[in-house]
Amino acid sequence: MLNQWLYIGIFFIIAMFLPAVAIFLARLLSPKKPTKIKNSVYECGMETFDPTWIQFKIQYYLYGLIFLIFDVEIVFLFPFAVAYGNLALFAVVEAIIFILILLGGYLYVWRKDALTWQ
Amino acid sequence: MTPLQIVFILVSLVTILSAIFVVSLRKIFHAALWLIVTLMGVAIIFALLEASFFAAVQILVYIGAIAIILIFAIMLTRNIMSDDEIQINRSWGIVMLLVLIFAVIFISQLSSSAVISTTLVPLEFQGQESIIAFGEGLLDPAGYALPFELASLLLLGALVGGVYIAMDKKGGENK
Repeated sequence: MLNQWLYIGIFFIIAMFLPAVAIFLARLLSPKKPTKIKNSVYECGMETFDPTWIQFKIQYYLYGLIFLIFDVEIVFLFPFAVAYGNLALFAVVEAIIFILILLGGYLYVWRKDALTWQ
Repeated sequence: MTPLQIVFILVSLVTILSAIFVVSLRKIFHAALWLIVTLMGVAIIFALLEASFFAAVQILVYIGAIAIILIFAIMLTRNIMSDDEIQINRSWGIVMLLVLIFAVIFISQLSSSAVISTTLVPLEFQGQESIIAFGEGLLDPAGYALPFELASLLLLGALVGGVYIAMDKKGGENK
């Protein structure tokens, strides 16, 4: 079991290592001649106007929150799905109740127009 | 020391250090980013304990969703992300003392109890079997069926409450 994680760990280290080497080598080799234009803030080649660190819309948070709730729902349903073959009918009814309760929440969010982008 | 212990010590050090950064850095946005490192460390500790499912959940839910929500919350509530705030106030010395006293009491009590001397036993399940057993136990009426359903209610409460607080009140009253 732990060996599987060892493989993931090795990949994780390599994944960290590769960009680190690229960034470090680039810093080591590249000549540094900073000018005002080179150091200026750019966004897709456009000149920036207004402060860039603005307050974000609350809608992002709403979507994030709803995503989080259903993410956790999936986490609970995953063991159910894996063990599905060994389960009795009662367990399936339980899972359906579990989903229905959260469906209520989804309907609430839907009816309250929280999912509409304003 | 076995390689496992070395990995454990390294990961715990990184976790504790980044946790200290979370509570001590002045820029709240940087604190949120360090929190991700802390959660990653906890995920690796779960993996070391052979709790693969919880390691995956830790990454998926905590790093994938909660950390993102936290960053959203910072971007939404602070009007600029580079908020320089001192994270300590005047009474930090007293609090530190109280925490130390509590830690000494807690550790001395824990070390004398039977919990600390329990040796870890590896799971007898192989690979996928552990998650199947977890699923069966979670939905077993004699097991954790009620907490399973209560989790759904808890999530419903969190969803409705969170949306109610976060939603634009004008938009909500139209319905």
